[in-house]
Amino acid sequence: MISILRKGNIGNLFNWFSIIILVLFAIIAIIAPFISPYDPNAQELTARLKPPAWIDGSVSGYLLGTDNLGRDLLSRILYGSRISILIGVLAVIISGVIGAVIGLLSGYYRTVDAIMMRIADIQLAFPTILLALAIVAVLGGGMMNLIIVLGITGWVQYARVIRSEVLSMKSSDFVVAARTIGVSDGRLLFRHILPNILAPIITIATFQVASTIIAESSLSFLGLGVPINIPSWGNMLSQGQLYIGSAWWISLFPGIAIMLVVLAINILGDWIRDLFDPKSK
Amino acid sequence: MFSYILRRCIYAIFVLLGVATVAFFIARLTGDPVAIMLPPDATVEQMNHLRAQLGMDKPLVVQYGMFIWDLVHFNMGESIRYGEPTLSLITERLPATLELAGASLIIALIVAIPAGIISAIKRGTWFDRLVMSVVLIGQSMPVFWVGILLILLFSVTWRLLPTGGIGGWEHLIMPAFALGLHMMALITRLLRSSLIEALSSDYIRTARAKGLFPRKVIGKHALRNSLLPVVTIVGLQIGALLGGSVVTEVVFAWPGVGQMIIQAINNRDFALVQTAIILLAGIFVIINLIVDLLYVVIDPRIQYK
Amino acid sequence: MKSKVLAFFLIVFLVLAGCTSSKSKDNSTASSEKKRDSLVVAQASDAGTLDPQKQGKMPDMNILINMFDTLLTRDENNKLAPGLATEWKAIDDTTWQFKLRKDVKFHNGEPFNAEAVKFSIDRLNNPDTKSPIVELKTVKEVVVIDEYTVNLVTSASDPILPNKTVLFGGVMVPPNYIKEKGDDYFAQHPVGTGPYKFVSWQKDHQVVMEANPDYFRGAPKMKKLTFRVIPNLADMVAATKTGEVDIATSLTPDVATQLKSDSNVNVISTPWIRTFYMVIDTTKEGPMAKKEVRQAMNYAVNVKQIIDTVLGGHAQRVATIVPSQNFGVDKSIKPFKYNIEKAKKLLAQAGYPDGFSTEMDANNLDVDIVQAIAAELGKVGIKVKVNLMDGATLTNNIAAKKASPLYYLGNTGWTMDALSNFQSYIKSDRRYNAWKNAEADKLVDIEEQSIDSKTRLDAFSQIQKLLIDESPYLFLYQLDGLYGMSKDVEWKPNVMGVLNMYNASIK
Repeated sequence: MISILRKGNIGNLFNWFSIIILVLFAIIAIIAPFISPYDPNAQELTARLKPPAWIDGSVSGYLLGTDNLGRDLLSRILYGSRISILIGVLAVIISGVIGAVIGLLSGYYRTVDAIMMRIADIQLAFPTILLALAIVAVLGGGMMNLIIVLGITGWVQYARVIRSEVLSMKSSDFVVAARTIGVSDGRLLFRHILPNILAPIITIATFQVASTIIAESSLSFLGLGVPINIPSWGNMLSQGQLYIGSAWWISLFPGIAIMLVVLAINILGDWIRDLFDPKSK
Repeated sequence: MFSYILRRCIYAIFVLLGVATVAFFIARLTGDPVAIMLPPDATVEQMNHLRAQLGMDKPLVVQYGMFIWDLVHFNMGESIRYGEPTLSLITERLPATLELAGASLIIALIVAIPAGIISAIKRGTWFDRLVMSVVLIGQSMPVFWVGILLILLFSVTWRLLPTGGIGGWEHLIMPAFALGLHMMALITRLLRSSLIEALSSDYIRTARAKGLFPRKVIGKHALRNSLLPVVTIVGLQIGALLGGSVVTEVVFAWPGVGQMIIQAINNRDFALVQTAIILLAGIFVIINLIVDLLYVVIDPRIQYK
Repeated sequence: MKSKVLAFFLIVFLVLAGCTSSKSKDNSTASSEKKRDSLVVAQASDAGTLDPQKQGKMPDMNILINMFDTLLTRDENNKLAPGLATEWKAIDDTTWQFKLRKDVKFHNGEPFNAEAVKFSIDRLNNPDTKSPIVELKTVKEVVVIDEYTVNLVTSASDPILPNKTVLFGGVMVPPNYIKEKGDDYFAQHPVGTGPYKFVSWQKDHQVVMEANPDYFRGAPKMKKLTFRVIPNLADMVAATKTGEVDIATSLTPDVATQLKSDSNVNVISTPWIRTFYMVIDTTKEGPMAKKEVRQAMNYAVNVKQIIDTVLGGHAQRVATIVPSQNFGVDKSIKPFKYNIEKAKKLLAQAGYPDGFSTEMDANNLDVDIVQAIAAELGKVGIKVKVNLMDGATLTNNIAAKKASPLYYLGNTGWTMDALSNFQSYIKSDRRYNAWKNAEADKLVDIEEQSIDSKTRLDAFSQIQKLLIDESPYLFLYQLDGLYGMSKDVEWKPNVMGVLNMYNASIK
C-alpha cells in the first residue's frame, strides 16, 4: 500500500480529497451509534419539517433540520452511511466475483463461453426492477435480498468486458509464448491473464459501487428498495423529493452524501487504475 | 461468416425462449392477480370464477405449456388490467420509449465522444479536469433526483420547459438529458481511459516514432482500439437505457413502456409483464448481435468461423 | 481542434436554447387560451380501458364519469338523486323499479331507453365481458316494462341496489353502437350520454374530451376537458405551480401544504369517505386474542395528534370503520379517547403489564402514518416491528392469510351504505375477516337481507357498539380529499372522490 502511495501523484488534491472523504464516511459508518445525537427513527411530531440550524425557524439541537416526521436528519444521514455503503460494497463483491470468474472462463474456453454468454444474455435482457420485485415477492423484502438482487444483476458487465479483453489478449504474443513453453491453462488464467485485466475490473468495480448506491436509491424511488423505514440514503432522498419545493433540506443532504461518496469512489478508482497500470503512466 | 451469423440467430431464439421461461415462472411466483383485480368486496366464488376464466386454476405445468404454445403462435395473451392483447399495448407505447432512449443515446454520444477524446489528448489540462469533474458529478446523482431538480429549475423557477408529458422537442429535452447523463459520463470516462492506454501502447509509440502525424495516429490506430470497450458498453447500456427509462418515464410522466411495466408489476398483470420482457429482450438480443459483429470489424484480431 | 469543439458545443446549446425559447412562447399563448374554455385535470394513473364495464378502479371511473351517465347520482347533501332514472322504488323484496328520463340521447344519436338499460346490465353481467365490476351480480334479470320503465330482479333481496347504480355498475352504454362496432372499437372510441364527448386518448398521457352541446342537463361550461396522467407527485406539484394543470388530485397532506404557499393555487380540503384502520388479527393465539389488549391499543394511540401533525389536520376521527356520511353510521357512538393510563391498566389486566412485541404490515405509501402509530403503541410497551411493502404484496399477503397480526387498510364504501364497509370484514366467512363473532354474523345477515331501513339502521348500530366493545380494529380516521386548483377555477369535489367535472368552470 505504501509503495502504491509513493508511486502515485501525491500532489493531486482530487485523489486526497477522495481518500479523506471515503475514510471519513467509513469511520462514520462504524461509529454512527456513538456520534448520532438522536435515534435515527425517533419521531418528534411537534418538530416536523424544521430547517437546518443556520436558517430562520430552526429548532436547536437539529443541526441539519428534521424531516416530515420530525426525525433528526443528521442522525439519519450518519446511520444511512452504514446502509448505503454496505449495500454498495457487498453487491459489488458478489457481482465482481461471479463476473470475473465467468468472464475469464468464457473468454478462455469456447464451450463455457457458449453456455455462459447465453445465460448472460438472458440475465441482461431482464429489467433489474422486475428481478428485484420477484425476489422481494418470493423471499420477502429486506436488505439482504436487495443486496443479492443488485449483486446478481451486476455480474454480466464484468464478464462481458473481461471476456472481450481475454479474447483479444489470447492472440497476444506473451500468451502464445507461454503456451508454447507448456504453461497450464489454470496457471495462465490466474497468474498471467488475470493481473493483466485487473485494470478494467477495477474500473468497472468502482463504477459499480457507485452505480449500486445510485440503483438503490432508484429502486427506493419506485417503491422496490430497502424497506422504506430503514434510513438508507436512497430512501431518504426518494421520500425527500416530494418536499423539494418547500423543505429542500430533506432531499438535499442525503443527495449530497450520495454525491460525495460516489464521487470519491470514482476518483479513487481512476487513481488506483493509473497506479496498477504502468502503461498509462 | 455466414454460418457465424446463422449460429448467432439460433442462439438468439434460444435466449428468448430462456427469457420467456424465466419470465413466466417469476411472474407466477409473485402472487395472485385476482386478489388485486377484484375490489375487496368480492366474494370467494367471484374470485374463483375469474381465476377459472383466466385459466389460472390449472396446474402450473399445464399453464406453462399453454403459454409456450401461444408464444410460438405469436399469441402473447391479453392483459388482465386492460383487457386488450398485450402485444398491441406494448407496441403502442414502444415508440415513446424508443424516442426517449434514442434521444438520450444521441445526446450522450454527441457530448461524450468529443469530450472523451479531447480529455485523453489534453490529459491533465484544465479542460480535462473540468470535463472529468462535470462527468463525475453528473454520474454521482440518481436520475430521479436530477429529473426533479431539472423540473424545479427549468419548469417551475424559469418557466422554460414543460414539467412533463410527451409532445414536441421541448418535452423531450429534460427527460432525454436526465436519462442520458449516466451513459454520457460512462462513455466519456471509458473512452478517455482506454484512449490513454492505447496512446501509451507500444505500437502507437512505434507509429509515432515512425513519424506519423498525431491526428492520424489517434484516428486510425488508437481510437480504433479504444472503441472496443466503448462499443461493448454502448451495447450493454442500451439495455440499461431501456431499464432506466422506467424511472425517467415516471418522473417526467412520459407515456412509454417503462411506466406501463411499473403499473403492470403493481397490478400483477402477468401477461403484460411477460410480453414486455420478451419484447425488450428481443430488442436487446438484436443489439448485442450487432455489437458482436462490430467486434469483427473493429478488431481484426478476433476471428469467427 | 479545441476551437472546433467549442464551436460545436456552442451550436448545440444555441439549438437547444432556440427550441426552448420558441416553445415557451407557444406555452404562454396556449395557457391564455386555455383559461377561457378548457380545463386540465391531473391524476396519478391512467384509465386501464375506456369501456366503462371492463374497469373497476377509481382512475378509470374519474375519466368515464365525464362521458357517461349513471342511473342514479348523489346530490350536494350526498342523498341519492336522479340521474338517467328519475324515480326508483322497491316493488317487492327482490324487485327494484326504475323510471327513466325520456330526453336522453347517446353521443352517436342513439336514444337512451329501457332496452339500453337491459343491454347495459346484461352485458355487465355476461361472463364473456369479464367485468371486474361485481356489485350488480345480484341482478338476476332485467325486465323491460315499457320504453321508459325497467325492473331489476335480484336473486336475493338487495337493499342497496339503487346505491350501486351511482358509479361503476350503474353506467349506461349504447346498445346499437356496441353491436355494430364491437367491443374493441367501443373501448377505443367510447360513446356515452355524458356532458363530454370523447376526442382522443394517448395512453398513460392524456384523455381529451369536448363539450356535448346536447347534454340533457345543458352543455357544460368548459369546451374542452383534458385528463392528464402524472404518476410522480413532485411532478404534479410542479405542473400545478406552472399552470399546466388546473386541478391536481390525489394529493397527500404534505404535498398539499407545499402547494398552499403558491399564490396561484388554492388548496381545497373536502370531506371524503375513504376510511382507515388497523386490522387486529384476533384469530391467532396470543395477546391480540384478548379484548382488553385490543381496547388498550385503541386507548394508547393519540389519533387526534397524528391527524393534526402527520396528516396536517386533513382527516376526521371516526368511531369505527364507517365514515360519517354513510348510511348506517351511529353518531351517538363516540370514538375512543386517548388515555395512556387506562391503556396500561387494561394491558396489566390482560396479563401484559410490560407490553409485548408484535409486527405490523403496511403499504410503503403509508409509511409516515404507520410509523407514528407504532411509536404511540411503543409508549405503552407494545413494541411493533413495522414491515413496509408495495401495495400489491400487501394485498397478496392479506388474501393469502400471511399478513402480520396488525395491518393498515383503507376502505372506500362508495355505495355510501355501511353494508359496503362491513361486507368483506365483519362476517366470519368473508375474505378479510380476522375476528369471529356469532352475534356480528347474525347482525350482518339482517342488514344485508332486509330492505327495511329501520331494521337495517338498528342492526348497523348494534354492530358498531359491538365493534367498540370488542375492538377488533384500531379505529382511526377518514381522510379528507385534497385538491390543488388554479385560483381562477371553480369546482366542488364530492365525498366519493369522483372527479365529475360537469360543474367546473373558470371564474
